[in-house]
Amino acid sequence: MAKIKLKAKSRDGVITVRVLMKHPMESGNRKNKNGSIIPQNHITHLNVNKNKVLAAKANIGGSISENPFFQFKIPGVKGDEIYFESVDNLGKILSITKISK
Amino acid sequence: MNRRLFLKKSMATASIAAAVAAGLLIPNRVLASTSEFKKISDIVKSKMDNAQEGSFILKAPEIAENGAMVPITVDALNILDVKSIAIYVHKNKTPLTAYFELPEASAFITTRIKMAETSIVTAIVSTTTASFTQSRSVKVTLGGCGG
Repeated sequence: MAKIKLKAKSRDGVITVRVLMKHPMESGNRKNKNGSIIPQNHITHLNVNKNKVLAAKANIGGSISENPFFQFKIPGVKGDEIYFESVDNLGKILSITKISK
Repeated sequence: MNRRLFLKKSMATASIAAAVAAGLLIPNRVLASTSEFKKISDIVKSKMDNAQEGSFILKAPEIAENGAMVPITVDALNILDVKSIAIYVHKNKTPLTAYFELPEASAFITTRIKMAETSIVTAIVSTTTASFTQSRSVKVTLGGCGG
């Protein structure tokens, strides 16, 4: 099961990149039923590259919703390569590459 | 160390080394993320205090039925040379939700955030010289009736 979905569609010289990830995004502030704190597990960084050049990056805290969704607009045309990667605070990397439609 | 374990470990190291070599990951970043994020949060807060109200669009629901998933759109395509966009929720425990840097992308972001309670949501759009803000009050109802 893919943990990450990416759609890239170009129109009038702008690629709209939509990313949907599967991630619990636990902020470390919540407690479970027994009263112990649920440990932090959230995405901290993400990068979007177009044709291997950094187009956008983000620093992310625990306040982004579970199964996060992002939308970017990047100038470009059909056939451009979009690469997306995210890193969480446990060091786990998720990445995907797609050719823009 | 048996052979199987050795192979596994060397493969893991190799893939990380390749990622580092490609300049995609800076190793100390992953380790020092929390303190780094606090620093960014402080920078954004000081920017917000010195900023003036801007003319960009911040789309947020007036009433959010579920605080766990509030859609936010920041559209600053009318401002030139936007370097970064930040979204700040004043009453959250980690008030800065995300800080986007946009070297090659247009000034447009959509995402979904978490909100602990009814609060003011501020978007901060920064260019190289100035910062602009827009604020919306978002009411969070927990009853689920949308009231």
